[in-house]
Amino acid sequence: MSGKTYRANDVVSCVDEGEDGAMLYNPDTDESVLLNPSGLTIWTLLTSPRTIEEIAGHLAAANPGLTSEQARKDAEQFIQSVVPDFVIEAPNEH
Amino acid sequence: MSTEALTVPDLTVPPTGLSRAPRELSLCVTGRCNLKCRYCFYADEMTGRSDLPTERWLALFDELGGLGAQRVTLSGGEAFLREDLFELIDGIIANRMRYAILTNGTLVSQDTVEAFDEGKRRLRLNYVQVSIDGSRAEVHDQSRPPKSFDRALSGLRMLKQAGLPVTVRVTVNRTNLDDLPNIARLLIEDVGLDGFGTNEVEQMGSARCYGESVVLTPAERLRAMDILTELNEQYEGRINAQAGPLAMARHFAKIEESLAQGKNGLPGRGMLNSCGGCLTKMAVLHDGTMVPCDLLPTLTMGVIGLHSLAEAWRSSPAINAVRYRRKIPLTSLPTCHDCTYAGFCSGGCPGSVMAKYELLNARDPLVCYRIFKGEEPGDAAV
Repeated sequence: MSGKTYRANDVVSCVDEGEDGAMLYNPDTDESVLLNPSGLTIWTLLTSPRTIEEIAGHLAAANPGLTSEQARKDAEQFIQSVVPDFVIEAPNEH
Repeated sequence: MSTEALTVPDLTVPPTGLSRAPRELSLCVTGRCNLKCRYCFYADEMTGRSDLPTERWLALFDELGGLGAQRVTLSGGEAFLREDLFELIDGIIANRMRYAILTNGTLVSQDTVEAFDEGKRRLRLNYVQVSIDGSRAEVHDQSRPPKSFDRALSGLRMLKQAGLPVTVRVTVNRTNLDDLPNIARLLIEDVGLDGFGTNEVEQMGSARCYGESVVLTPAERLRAMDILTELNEQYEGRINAQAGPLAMARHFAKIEESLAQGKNGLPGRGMLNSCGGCLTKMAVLHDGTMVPCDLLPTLTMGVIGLHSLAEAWRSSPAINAVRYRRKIPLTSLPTCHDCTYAGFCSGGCPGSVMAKYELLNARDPLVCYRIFKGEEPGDAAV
Protein backbone atom coordinates (compact mmCIF):
# COMPACT_ATOMS: atom_id res chain seq x y z
CA MET A 1 0.00 0.00 0.00
CA SER A 2 2.90 2.31 0.80
CA GLY A 3 3.72 4.73 -2.00
CA LYS A 4 0.56 4.04 -3.95
CA THR A 5 -1.87 6.85 -4.55
CA TYR A 6 -5.63 6.55 -4.36
CA ARG A 7 -8.54 8.67 -5.48
CA ALA A 8 -12.33 8.54 -5.44
CA ASN A 9 -13.87 6.52 -8.25
CA ASP A 10 -15.56 9.15 -10.45
CA VAL A 11 -18.61 7.01 -10.99
CA VAL A 12 -19.42 6.83 -7.27
CA SER A 13 -22.03 9.15 -5.75
CA CYS A 14 -21.84 10.33 -2.16
CA VAL A 15 -24.84 11.42 -0.11
CA ASP A 16 -24.04 13.26 3.08
CA GLU A 17 -26.68 12.36 5.66
CA GLY A 18 -25.36 14.69 8.36
CA GLU A 19 -24.86 13.06 11.76
CA ASP A 20 -25.58 9.67 10.21
CA GLY A 21 -22.46 9.93 8.05
CA ALA A 22 -22.66 9.37 4.32
CA MET A 23 -23.56 6.73 1.78
CA LEU A 24 -21.35 5.92 -1.19
CA TYR A 25 -22.97 4.21 -4.16
CA ASN A 26 -21.33 2.68 -7.20
CA PRO A 27 -23.96 2.34 -9.95
CA ASP A 28 -21.70 0.13 -12.08
CA THR A 29 -21.61 -2.57 -9.41
CA ASP A 30 -24.81 -1.64 -7.53
CA GLU A 31 -22.78 -1.68 -4.30
CA SER A 32 -23.13 0.85 -1.51
CA VAL A 33 -21.25 1.50 1.70
CA LEU A 34 -21.96 3.65 4.73
CA LEU A 35 -19.26 5.99 5.95
CA ASN A 36 -19.00 7.42 9.43
CA PRO A 37 -18.02 11.11 9.71
CA SER A 38 -14.28 10.22 9.76
CA GLY A 39 -14.72 8.12 6.64
CA LEU A 40 -16.51 11.01 4.97
CA THR A 41 -13.55 13.27 5.79
CA ILE A 42 -11.19 10.83 4.08
CA TRP A 43 -13.54 10.45 1.11
CA THR A 44 -13.53 14.23 0.66
CA LEU A 45 -9.73 14.20 0.64
CA LEU A 46 -9.76 11.60 -2.10
CA THR A 47 -11.25 13.95 -4.67
CA SER A 48 -7.52 14.44 -5.38
CA PRO A 49 -5.05 11.53 -5.47
CA ARG A 50 -3.56 10.81 -2.03
CA THR A 51 -1.07 8.39 -0.54
CA ILE A 52 -1.75 6.50 2.68
CA GLU A 53 0.81 8.72 4.37
CA GLU A 54 -1.01 11.86 3.28
CA ILE A 55 -4.36 10.53 4.47
CA ALA A 56 -2.81 9.51 7.80
CA GLY A 57 -1.26 12.98 8.11
CA HIS A 58 -4.66 14.64 7.68
CA LEU A 59 -6.24 12.27 10.21
CA ALA A 60 -3.51 12.94 12.78
CA ALA A 61 -3.81 16.68 12.26
CA ALA A 62 -7.58 16.61 12.65
CA ASN A 63 -7.45 14.35 15.74
CA PRO A 64 -4.72 15.52 18.14
CA GLY A 65 -5.19 12.45 20.36
CA LEU A 66 -4.41 10.06 17.52
CA THR A 67 -0.86 8.65 17.27
CA SER A 68 0.72 8.65 13.84
CA GLU A 69 0.82 4.86 13.96
CA GLN A 70 -2.90 4.63 14.67
CA ALA A 71 -3.67 7.25 12.00
CA ARG A 72 -1.80 5.16 9.45
CA LYS A 73 -3.65 2.01 10.50
CA ASP A 74 -7.00 3.84 10.21
CA ALA A 75 -6.07 5.14 6.76
CA GLU A 76 -5.00 1.69 5.57
CA GLN A 77 -8.12 0.08 6.98
CA PHE A 78 -10.34 2.62 5.25
CA ILE A 79 -8.62 2.22 1.90
CA GLN A 80 -8.80 -1.58 2.13
CA SER A 81 -12.54 -1.38 2.76
CA VAL A 82 -13.34 0.83 -0.25
CA VAL A 83 -10.89 -0.34 -2.97
CA PRO A 84 -11.72 -1.07 -5.76
CA ASP A 85 -15.46 -0.32 -5.92
CA PHE A 86 -15.40 3.16 -4.42
CA VAL A 87 -11.76 4.22 -4.47
CA ILE A 88 -9.27 3.35 -7.18
CA GLU A 89 -5.51 3.26 -7.38
CA ALA A 90 -4.09 6.22 -9.26
CA PRO A 91 -0.41 5.32 -9.52
CA ASN A 92 0.65 8.00 -11.94
CA GLU A 93 -1.58 10.84 -10.94
CA HIS A 94 0.23 12.17 -7.88
CA MET B 1 -61.48 -0.04 19.83
CA SER B 2 -58.29 1.35 21.31
CA THR B 3 -59.09 4.16 23.74
CA GLU B 4 -55.57 5.57 23.69
CA ALA B 5 -55.56 8.97 22.01
CA LEU B 6 -53.48 9.10 18.85
CA THR B 7 -51.17 12.04 18.37
CA VAL B 8 -51.76 13.89 15.14
CA PRO B 9 -48.33 14.28 13.53
CA ASP B 10 -47.12 17.44 11.83
CA LEU B 11 -47.18 16.18 8.27
CA THR B 12 -44.66 18.77 7.12
CA VAL B 13 -42.05 17.13 9.35
CA PRO B 14 -40.62 13.80 8.10
CA PRO B 15 -40.17 10.80 10.36
CA THR B 16 -36.87 10.64 12.25
CA GLY B 17 -34.06 9.10 10.24
CA LEU B 18 -35.52 9.78 6.80
CA SER B 19 -32.81 10.17 4.16
CA ARG B 20 -32.30 13.58 2.55
CA ALA B 21 -33.48 12.31 -0.82
CA PRO B 22 -35.16 9.20 -2.27
CA ARG B 23 -32.90 6.29 -3.16
CA GLU B 24 -35.27 5.02 -5.82
CA LEU B 25 -37.93 6.51 -8.05
CA SER B 26 -40.64 5.12 -10.25
CA LEU B 27 -40.86 7.32 -13.34
CA CYS B 28 -43.88 7.02 -15.63
CA VAL B 29 -42.16 8.55 -18.64
CA THR B 30 -45.23 8.51 -20.86
CA GLY B 31 -48.97 8.30 -20.52
CA ARG B 32 -49.25 6.95 -24.04
CA CYS B 33 -49.64 3.26 -24.71
CA ASN B 34 -50.03 1.18 -27.86
CA LEU B 35 -52.32 -1.24 -26.00
CA LYS B 36 -55.49 -0.71 -24.03
CA CYS B 37 -55.39 -3.48 -21.47
CA ARG B 38 -58.47 -4.20 -19.44
CA TYR B 39 -56.65 -3.83 -16.14
CA CYS B 40 -54.15 -1.07 -16.66
CA PHE B 41 -53.78 0.61 -13.27
CA TYR B 42 -52.38 3.72 -14.94
CA ALA B 43 -55.33 4.27 -17.27
CA ASP B 44 -56.95 6.79 -14.94
CA GLU B 45 -53.95 9.05 -15.31
CA MET B 46 -53.49 8.97 -19.06
CA THR B 47 -56.15 11.30 -20.37
CA GLY B 48 -55.71 15.04 -20.40
CA ARG B 49 -52.10 15.11 -19.29
CA SER B 50 -49.16 15.66 -21.64
CA ASP B 51 -45.84 13.84 -21.49
CA LEU B 52 -42.93 15.89 -20.23
CA PRO B 53 -40.49 16.74 -23.02
CA THR B 54 -36.99 15.29 -23.12
CA GLU B 55 -35.27 18.29 -21.57
CA ARG B 56 -37.54 18.29 -18.52
CA TRP B 57 -36.73 14.64 -17.81
CA LEU B 58 -33.03 15.27 -18.35
CA ALA B 59 -33.20 18.20 -15.92
CA LEU B 60 -34.85 15.90 -13.39
CA PHE B 61 -32.05 13.35 -13.79
CA ASP B 62 -29.51 16.11 -13.14
CA GLU B 63 -31.42 16.99 -9.97
CA LEU B 64 -31.57 13.34 -8.91
CA GLY B 65 -27.87 12.86 -9.61
CA GLY B 66 -27.07 15.79 -7.35
CA LEU B 67 -29.21 14.25 -4.61
CA GLY B 68 -27.55 10.83 -4.86
CA ALA B 69 -30.58 8.88 -6.05
CA GLN B 70 -29.52 5.35 -6.99
CA ARG B 71 -32.15 3.64 -9.12
CA VAL B 72 -35.07 4.57 -11.33
CA THR B 73 -37.74 2.39 -12.88
CA LEU B 74 -39.09 3.62 -16.21
CA SER B 75 -42.67 2.76 -17.02
CA GLY B 76 -45.77 4.32 -18.49
CA GLY B 77 -47.94 3.93 -20.46
CA GLU B 78 -45.49 2.10 -22.66
CA ALA B 79 -41.95 3.33 -22.14
CA PHE B 80 -40.71 2.12 -25.56
CA LEU B 81 -43.17 4.48 -27.26
CA ARG B 82 -40.82 7.33 -26.35
CA GLU B 83 -38.50 7.88 -29.28
CA ASP B 84 -36.04 9.52 -26.91
CA LEU B 85 -36.03 6.60 -24.47
CA PHE B 86 -32.33 5.84 -24.89
CA GLU B 87 -31.49 9.54 -24.63
CA LEU B 88 -33.29 9.50 -21.28
CA ILE B 89 -31.41 6.35 -20.28
CA ASP B 90 -28.10 8.04 -21.11
CA GLY B 91 -29.15 10.95 -18.91
CA ILE B 92 -29.76 8.51 -16.07
CA ILE B 93 -26.37 6.88 -16.59
CA ALA B 94 -24.58 10.24 -16.75
CA ASN B 95 -26.06 11.02 -13.35
CA ARG B 96 -24.66 7.91 -11.71
CA MET B 97 -27.86 5.91 -11.45
CA ARG B 98 -29.08 2.49 -12.53
CA TYR B 99 -32.40 1.82 -14.23
CA ALA B 100 -35.08 -0.76 -14.96
CA ILE B 101 -37.84 -0.76 -17.58
CA LEU B 102 -41.40 -2.06 -17.30
CA THR B 103 -42.90 -2.81 -20.71
CA ASN B 104 -45.64 -4.71 -22.49
CA GLY B 105 -42.87 -6.07 -24.73
CA THR B 106 -44.68 -5.56 -28.01
CA LEU B 107 -42.40 -2.81 -29.33
CA VAL B 108 -39.11 -4.55 -28.59
CA SER B 109 -37.21 -5.13 -31.83
CA GLN B 110 -33.71 -6.26 -32.77
CA ASP B 111 -32.76 -2.58 -33.03
CA THR B 112 -34.03 -2.01 -29.51
CA VAL B 113 -31.99 -4.89 -28.18
CA GLU B 114 -28.83 -3.71 -29.96
CA ALA B 115 -29.29 -0.19 -28.60
CA PHE B 116 -28.57 -1.57 -25.11
CA ASP B 117 -25.01 -2.33 -26.22
CA GLU B 118 -24.00 1.32 -26.40
CA GLY B 119 -21.96 2.80 -23.55
CA LYS B 120 -23.04 1.65 -20.11
CA ARG B 121 -26.68 0.98 -21.00
CA ARG B 122 -26.32 -2.76 -20.48
CA LEU B 123 -24.10 -2.48 -17.39
CA ARG B 124 -26.51 -0.15 -15.61
CA LEU B 125 -29.67 -2.05 -16.52
CA ASN B 126 -31.19 -3.80 -13.52
CA TYR B 127 -33.88 -5.57 -15.54
CA VAL B 128 -36.51 -5.27 -18.23
CA GLN B 129 -39.86 -6.55 -17.02
CA VAL B 130 -42.31 -7.77 -19.66
CA SER B 131 -46.00 -8.31 -18.93
CA ILE B 132 -47.14 -11.77 -20.01
CA ASP B 133 -50.61 -12.86 -18.91
CA GLY B 134 -51.19 -16.05 -20.83
CA SER B 135 -49.38 -19.02 -22.33
CA ARG B 136 -51.05 -18.44 -25.70
CA ALA B 137 -52.79 -15.68 -27.62
CA GLU B 138 -56.31 -16.86 -26.76
CA VAL B 139 -55.63 -16.17 -23.10
CA HIS B 140 -53.20 -13.23 -23.13
CA ASP B 141 -55.17 -11.30 -25.77
CA GLN B 142 -58.50 -11.60 -23.97
CA SER B 143 -57.53 -8.53 -22.02
CA ARG B 144 -55.43 -6.86 -24.71
CA PRO B 145 -55.68 -6.00 -28.40
CA PRO B 146 -55.28 -8.88 -30.93
CA LYS B 147 -51.72 -10.08 -31.67
CA SER B 148 -50.41 -8.62 -28.41
CA PHE B 149 -49.26 -12.05 -27.24
CA ASP B 150 -47.15 -12.90 -30.28
CA ARG B 151 -45.42 -9.54 -30.18
CA ALA B 152 -44.88 -9.60 -26.41
CA LEU B 153 -43.43 -13.11 -26.50
CA SER B 154 -41.20 -12.21 -29.43
CA GLY B 155 -39.92 -9.18 -27.52
CA LEU B 156 -39.32 -11.28 -24.43
CA ARG B 157 -37.36 -13.89 -26.40
CA MET B 158 -35.23 -11.23 -28.09
CA LEU B 159 -34.32 -9.66 -24.78
CA LYS B 160 -33.51 -13.07 -23.30
CA GLN B 161 -31.42 -14.18 -26.28
CA ALA B 162 -29.42 -10.95 -26.11
CA GLY B 163 -28.45 -11.86 -22.57
CA LEU B 164 -30.19 -8.84 -21.05
CA PRO B 165 -31.58 -9.22 -17.53
CA VAL B 166 -35.23 -9.90 -18.26
CA THR B 167 -38.10 -10.82 -16.01
CA VAL B 168 -41.84 -11.26 -16.41
CA ARG B 169 -44.81 -10.11 -14.39
CA VAL B 170 -47.99 -12.19 -14.65
CA THR B 171 -51.10 -10.36 -13.53
CA VAL B 172 -53.53 -13.00 -12.30
CA ASN B 173 -57.10 -12.34 -13.40
CA ARG B 174 -60.30 -14.17 -14.28
CA THR B 175 -59.14 -14.90 -17.82
CA ASN B 176 -55.83 -16.59 -17.00
CA LEU B 177 -56.47 -18.39 -13.72
CA ASP B 178 -56.74 -21.82 -15.32
CA ASP B 179 -53.79 -21.09 -17.60
CA LEU B 180 -51.30 -20.45 -14.76
CA PRO B 181 -49.63 -23.89 -15.00
CA ASN B 182 -49.14 -23.40 -18.75
CA ILE B 183 -47.77 -19.88 -18.20
CA ALA B 184 -45.23 -21.22 -15.71
CA ARG B 185 -44.20 -23.95 -18.15
CA LEU B 186 -43.84 -21.45 -21.00
CA LEU B 187 -41.79 -18.93 -19.03
CA ILE B 188 -39.53 -21.29 -17.09
CA GLU B 189 -39.19 -24.36 -19.30
CA ASP B 190 -39.59 -22.90 -22.79
CA VAL B 191 -38.32 -19.31 -22.61
CA GLY B 192 -35.83 -20.32 -19.91
CA LEU B 193 -36.38 -17.59 -17.36
CA ASP B 194 -34.94 -18.05 -13.87
CA GLY B 195 -38.40 -17.29 -12.54
CA PHE B 196 -41.21 -14.77 -12.78
CA GLY B 197 -43.34 -12.51 -10.61
CA THR B 198 -47.06 -12.45 -10.01
CA ASN B 199 -49.66 -10.04 -8.73
CA GLU B 200 -53.38 -9.69 -9.32
CA VAL B 201 -55.78 -7.32 -11.03
CA GLU B 202 -57.03 -4.66 -8.68
CA GLN B 203 -60.15 -2.53 -8.99
CA MET B 204 -58.33 0.51 -10.32
CA GLY B 205 -57.60 2.13 -13.68
CA SER B 206 -59.36 0.45 -16.58
CA ALA B 207 -60.32 -2.48 -14.35
CA ARG B 208 -62.96 -0.15 -12.90
CA CYS B 209 -64.75 -0.47 -16.27
CA TYR B 210 -64.06 -4.16 -16.87
CA GLY B 211 -64.15 -5.29 -13.25
CA GLU B 212 -66.50 -8.23 -13.56
CA SER B 213 -64.62 -9.72 -16.47
CA VAL B 214 -61.16 -9.48 -14.95
CA VAL B 215 -61.15 -9.03 -11.14
CA LEU B 216 -60.98 -12.34 -9.25
CA THR B 217 -63.94 -13.35 -7.12
CA PRO B 218 -63.10 -14.43 -3.54
CA ALA B 219 -63.44 -18.09 -4.57
CA GLU B 220 -61.17 -17.58 -7.56
CA ARG B 221 -58.59 -15.84 -5.38
CA LEU B 222 -58.51 -18.87 -3.11
CA ARG B 223 -57.96 -21.09 -6.14
CA ALA B 224 -55.22 -18.79 -7.39
CA MET B 225 -53.51 -19.05 -4.01
CA ASP B 226 -53.59 -22.85 -4.16
CA ILE B 227 -52.47 -23.04 -7.80
CA LEU B 228 -49.57 -20.64 -7.36
CA THR B 229 -48.43 -22.25 -4.10
CA GLU B 230 -48.36 -25.64 -5.83
CA LEU B 231 -46.55 -24.27 -8.89
CA ASN B 232 -44.01 -22.53 -6.72
CA GLU B 233 -43.25 -25.83 -5.02
CA GLN B 234 -43.04 -27.59 -8.37
CA TYR B 235 -40.61 -24.94 -9.68
CA GLU B 236 -38.63 -24.78 -6.42
CA GLY B 237 -39.38 -21.22 -5.38
CA ARG B 238 -38.92 -19.61 -8.78
CA ILE B 239 -42.26 -17.78 -8.65
CA ASN B 240 -42.22 -14.64 -6.58
CA ALA B 241 -44.77 -12.11 -5.39
CA GLN B 242 -44.80 -8.92 -3.37
CA ALA B 243 -48.59 -8.77 -3.60
CA GLY B 244 -51.45 -10.81 -4.99
CA PRO B 245 -52.55 -14.40 -4.35
CA LEU B 246 -49.12 -15.98 -3.85
CA ALA B 247 -48.00 -13.28 -1.42
CA MET B 248 -51.27 -13.65 0.46
CA ALA B 249 -50.97 -17.43 0.59
CA ARG B 250 -47.52 -17.09 2.15
CA HIS B 251 -48.70 -14.45 4.60
CA PHE B 252 -51.72 -16.46 5.70
CA ALA B 253 -49.59 -19.60 6.07
CA LYS B 254 -47.25 -17.66 8.33
CA ILE B 255 -50.19 -16.50 10.44
CA GLU B 256 -51.46 -20.05 10.77
CA GLU B 257 -48.03 -21.33 11.74
CA SER B 258 -47.73 -18.61 14.38
CA LEU B 259 -51.19 -19.27 15.74
CA ALA B 260 -50.35 -22.96 16.04
CA GLN B 261 -47.33 -21.95 18.11
CA GLY B 262 -49.60 -19.95 20.43
CA LYS B 263 -48.37 -16.55 19.27
CA ASN B 264 -50.69 -13.56 19.09
CA GLY B 265 -48.71 -11.49 16.64
CA LEU B 266 -45.63 -11.14 14.47
CA PRO B 267 -42.73 -8.71 14.91
CA GLY B 268 -43.37 -5.39 13.17
CA ARG B 269 -47.06 -6.09 12.66
CA GLY B 270 -50.19 -4.68 14.27
CA MET B 271 -49.81 -1.23 12.71
CA LEU B 272 -50.74 0.21 9.29
CA ASN B 273 -47.17 -0.27 8.17
CA SER B 274 -47.48 -2.63 5.22
CA CYS B 275 -45.74 -0.32 2.80
CA GLY B 276 -42.26 0.89 3.65
CA GLY B 277 -41.76 2.06 0.10
CA CYS B 278 -42.26 5.72 0.81
CA LEU B 279 -39.29 5.69 3.18
CA THR B 280 -36.92 5.09 0.27
CA LYS B 281 -38.95 5.65 -2.90
CA MET B 282 -41.30 8.05 -4.61
CA ALA B 283 -42.74 8.44 -8.09
CA VAL B 284 -43.14 10.97 -10.89
CA LEU B 285 -46.07 10.77 -13.30
CA HIS B 286 -45.67 11.45 -17.01
CA ASP B 287 -46.72 15.11 -16.72
CA GLY B 288 -44.19 15.77 -13.98
CA THR B 289 -46.48 15.41 -10.97
CA MET B 290 -44.58 14.08 -7.97
CA VAL B 291 -46.50 11.49 -5.97
CA PRO B 292 -45.57 9.06 -3.16
CA CYS B 293 -46.22 6.07 -5.44
CA ASP B 294 -47.68 5.57 -8.91
CA LEU B 295 -50.51 3.69 -7.18
CA LEU B 296 -51.30 6.88 -5.24
CA PRO B 297 -51.67 9.34 -8.14
CA THR B 298 -54.04 11.68 -6.32
CA LEU B 299 -51.61 12.44 -3.49
CA THR B 300 -49.80 15.29 -5.17
CA MET B 301 -46.45 16.38 -3.75
CA GLY B 302 -45.61 19.02 -6.35
CA VAL B 303 -44.43 19.29 -9.92
CA ILE B 304 -40.87 18.68 -11.05
CA GLY B 305 -39.19 21.78 -12.36
CA LEU B 306 -41.55 23.97 -10.33
CA HIS B 307 -40.91 22.51 -6.90
CA SER B 308 -37.77 21.13 -5.27
CA LEU B 309 -37.87 17.36 -5.28
CA ALA B 310 -35.68 17.17 -2.16
CA GLU B 311 -38.02 19.50 -0.29
CA ALA B 312 -41.13 17.64 -1.45
CA TRP B 313 -39.49 14.36 -0.41
CA ARG B 314 -39.06 15.51 3.17
CA SER B 315 -41.80 18.08 3.74
CA SER B 316 -44.78 17.16 1.56
CA PRO B 317 -47.81 16.25 3.71
CA ALA B 318 -48.94 13.92 0.92
CA ILE B 319 -46.00 11.54 1.30
CA ASN B 320 -45.64 12.04 5.05
CA ALA B 321 -49.28 10.99 5.47
CA VAL B 322 -48.33 7.63 3.94
CA ARG B 323 -45.21 7.37 6.13
CA TYR B 324 -47.11 8.15 9.33
CA ARG B 325 -49.65 5.39 8.68
CA ARG B 326 -47.14 3.18 10.45
CA LYS B 327 -47.93 4.98 13.71
CA ILE B 328 -51.58 3.94 13.51
CA PRO B 329 -52.48 0.72 15.37
CA LEU B 330 -54.83 -1.49 13.39
CA THR B 331 -56.99 -1.79 16.50
CA SER B 332 -57.78 1.92 16.21
CA LEU B 333 -59.65 1.24 12.95
CA PRO B 334 -63.40 0.54 13.15
CA THR B 335 -62.95 -2.51 10.92
CA CYS B 336 -60.24 -4.04 13.07
CA HIS B 337 -60.83 -2.90 16.67
CA ASP B 338 -61.98 -6.33 17.80
CA CYS B 339 -59.86 -8.42 15.46
CA THR B 340 -57.90 -11.13 17.21
CA TYR B 341 -55.52 -11.31 14.26
CA ALA B 342 -54.57 -7.60 14.29
CA GLY B 343 -51.15 -8.45 15.69
CA PHE B 344 -50.36 -10.37 12.51
CA CYS B 345 -51.56 -7.75 10.07
CA SER B 346 -50.08 -4.64 8.49
CA GLY B 347 -53.12 -3.38 6.63
CA GLY B 348 -52.23 -3.92 2.99
CA CYS B 349 -51.23 -1.62 0.16
CA PRO B 350 -52.19 2.05 0.66
CA GLY B 351 -52.69 2.36 -3.10
CA SER B 352 -55.26 -0.44 -3.10
CA VAL B 353 -57.01 1.08 -0.11
CA MET B 354 -57.17 4.52 -1.76
CA ALA B 355 -58.49 3.03 -4.99
CA LYS B 356 -61.26 1.21 -3.13
CA TYR B 357 -62.30 3.75 -0.53
CA GLU B 358 -60.61 7.09 -1.29
CA LEU B 359 -59.21 6.78 2.22
CA LEU B 360 -55.60 6.32 3.21
CA ASN B 361 -55.97 5.11 6.77
CA ALA B 362 -57.95 1.93 6.29
CA ARG B 363 -57.09 -1.70 5.78
CA ASP B 364 -57.35 -3.54 2.50
CA PRO B 365 -59.93 -6.36 2.70
CA LEU B 366 -57.84 -8.37 0.22
CA VAL B 367 -55.16 -8.93 2.85
CA CYS B 368 -57.56 -9.46 5.77
CA TYR B 369 -57.07 -12.85 7.40
CA ARG B 370 -60.39 -12.57 9.24
CA ILE B 371 -62.23 -12.14 5.92
CA PHE B 372 -60.14 -14.97 4.44
CA LYS B 373 -61.30 -17.20 7.27
CA GLY B 374 -64.92 -16.12 6.70
CA GLU B 375 -65.14 -14.70 10.20
CA GLU B 376 -66.05 -11.15 9.12
CA PRO B 377 -68.99 -10.46 6.86
CA GLY B 378 -68.59 -7.83 4.16
CA ASP B 379 -65.59 -5.69 3.42
CA ALA B 380 -66.54 -2.25 4.69
CA ALA B 381 -63.45 -0.16 5.31
CA VAL B 382 -64.84 2.07 8.01
